Amino acid sequence: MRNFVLILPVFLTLLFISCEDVILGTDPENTPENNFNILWGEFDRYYTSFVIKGINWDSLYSVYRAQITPQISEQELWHNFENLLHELNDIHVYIFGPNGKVFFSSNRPYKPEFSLPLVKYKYLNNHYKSAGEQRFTYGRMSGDSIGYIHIVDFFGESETWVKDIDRIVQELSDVRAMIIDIRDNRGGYDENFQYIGSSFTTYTMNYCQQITRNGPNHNDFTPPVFRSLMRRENTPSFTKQIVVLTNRFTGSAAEVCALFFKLLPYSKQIGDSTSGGIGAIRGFQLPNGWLYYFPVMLNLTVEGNNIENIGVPPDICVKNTEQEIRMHFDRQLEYTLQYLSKNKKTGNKPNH
Amino acid sequence: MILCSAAFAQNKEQPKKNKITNSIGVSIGLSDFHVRDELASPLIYRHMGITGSGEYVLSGENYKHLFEASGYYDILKSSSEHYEAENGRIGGRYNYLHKITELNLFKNRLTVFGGGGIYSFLNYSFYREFISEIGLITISYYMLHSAELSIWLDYSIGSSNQLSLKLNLPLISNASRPTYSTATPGTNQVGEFSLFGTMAAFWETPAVQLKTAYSFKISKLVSISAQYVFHYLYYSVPRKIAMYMNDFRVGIYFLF
Repeated sequence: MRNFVLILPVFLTLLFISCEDVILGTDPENTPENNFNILWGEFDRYYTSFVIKGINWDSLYSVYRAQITPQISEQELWHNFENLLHELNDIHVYIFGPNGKVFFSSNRPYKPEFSLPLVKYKYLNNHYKSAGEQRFTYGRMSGDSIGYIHIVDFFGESETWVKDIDRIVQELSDVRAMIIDIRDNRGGYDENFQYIGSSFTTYTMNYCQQITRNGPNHNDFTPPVFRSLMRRENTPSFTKQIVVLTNRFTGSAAEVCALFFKLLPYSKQIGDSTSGGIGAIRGFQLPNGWLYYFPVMLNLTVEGNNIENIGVPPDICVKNTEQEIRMHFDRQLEYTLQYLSKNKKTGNKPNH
Repeated sequence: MILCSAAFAQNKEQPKKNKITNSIGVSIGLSDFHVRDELASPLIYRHMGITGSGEYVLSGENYKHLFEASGYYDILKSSSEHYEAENGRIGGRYNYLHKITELNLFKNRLTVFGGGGIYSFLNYSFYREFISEIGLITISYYMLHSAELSIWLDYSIGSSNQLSLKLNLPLISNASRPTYSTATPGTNQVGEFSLFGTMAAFWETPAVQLKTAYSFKISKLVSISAQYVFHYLYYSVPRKIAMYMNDFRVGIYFLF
């Protein structure tokens, strides 16, 4: 009997180790139907833009679910998902599939209406510097009186690159105006934009509102949360005249960046509307190993307007064409230089 | 029934009582951890990671005060090689246990304590992917502050060996989870970690912890221990999370 008492813990150990199926169940079965149902269900539960885009998700289920059979091939399943997600036409919706395949839901093809090499050699006369792990390109234009900073994106670890903005602002502190060029900037992390943005204000200010899906109905959202940007102590700031350049490929966090600069009274946005994909995303998995992202949160203007699918409109609309870029002519930048030469201003304090 | 009665009958010849001692010690070992968090992933994540705990027991003639802290860290794996979850968990517990009875079982002393206490538990997971440049799918967590029922059985075999079994059952808990939906960290602030959540009764947050330990006194001041701990937790808000762990630890305790 004494042995029984000693054996009891061993018995319990073996019992609990071998019971994952009993306690947690099993992984969802990797079948075409299951993969479709999980993907459709997660969008139904969390996607933010059904209402603003006028999409009937239930009806799309009927159409695309009917094409799924147990015998469907991986390739056919991939095409089914491509077609389903294409209906959303959202720059923030994309799926990574077999053999490195990736599909972007947006049906707006990229057009080379901006060229950083052109800016470097023609407008900066090859006198430019790079910083922040090559994310910043900066220099001077128009006889050194105008500063220029291009930001490739807002990805990457904040600690490693974004702080270079302090050195750049210090180096360009004597210019009378600054061009912040976020054309073709596809976004990234808010923290990086916030650090950069706070170099251009001396006050704490709200720059947008955020709402997040918080229920199963497509218009279930949290109350808006104001996002604010605080000025940084003991770092250089630039609050003279600013022009922000945007185009249709300024996306995501770069659009939030445009929203912020739009609120500064000494800043103008010149160029084209931003891409209109201003939400924040998260990732989801499928049993077959595929990965997909879509927005679960939306950024609104500080007044509460939803500009998803619309973009941040410029104060002055100037559009580049592919042909002009090929002809080494950047109409948006040319216009901006003329604008700054005609509209010389001193810095103002932002409203807050 | 007869067998039980016979086995638990209090003999006239009571075994000699050990001197009451307090103990403090640490243990370290491996934890076989399994979690299904549907907020983060449809897949089950699991792996064997490192676990450790520290324990202080203040004993009296008829009572015990238990203070315990435990921790765990590991990179969990799923059925797909493209995903993993960096997982950490910590827990802290205080129990007061009162001696209910003392029996003679198979010529050895079985002491039964009953009581309760408070328990806090946090499991925090970074769900990562190795497919896109984003890399981080989401962060999820489960935090629980519970008032719990505790039962502690000590079975002394001779003067140096002791087998103990301890069961903890939360009765009412404050459970904290991420909000209904949270974006990938770095892209927003909505859904930040919250220390406290909503109150839930035990049928809404079923959980159990069962600890068995065998300890051997190697001197008057030191004992060593081999432990097995089974821990299970469940909650369904905003989506189902269920986890269990099998901890295997060895420890050293100082008696005073």
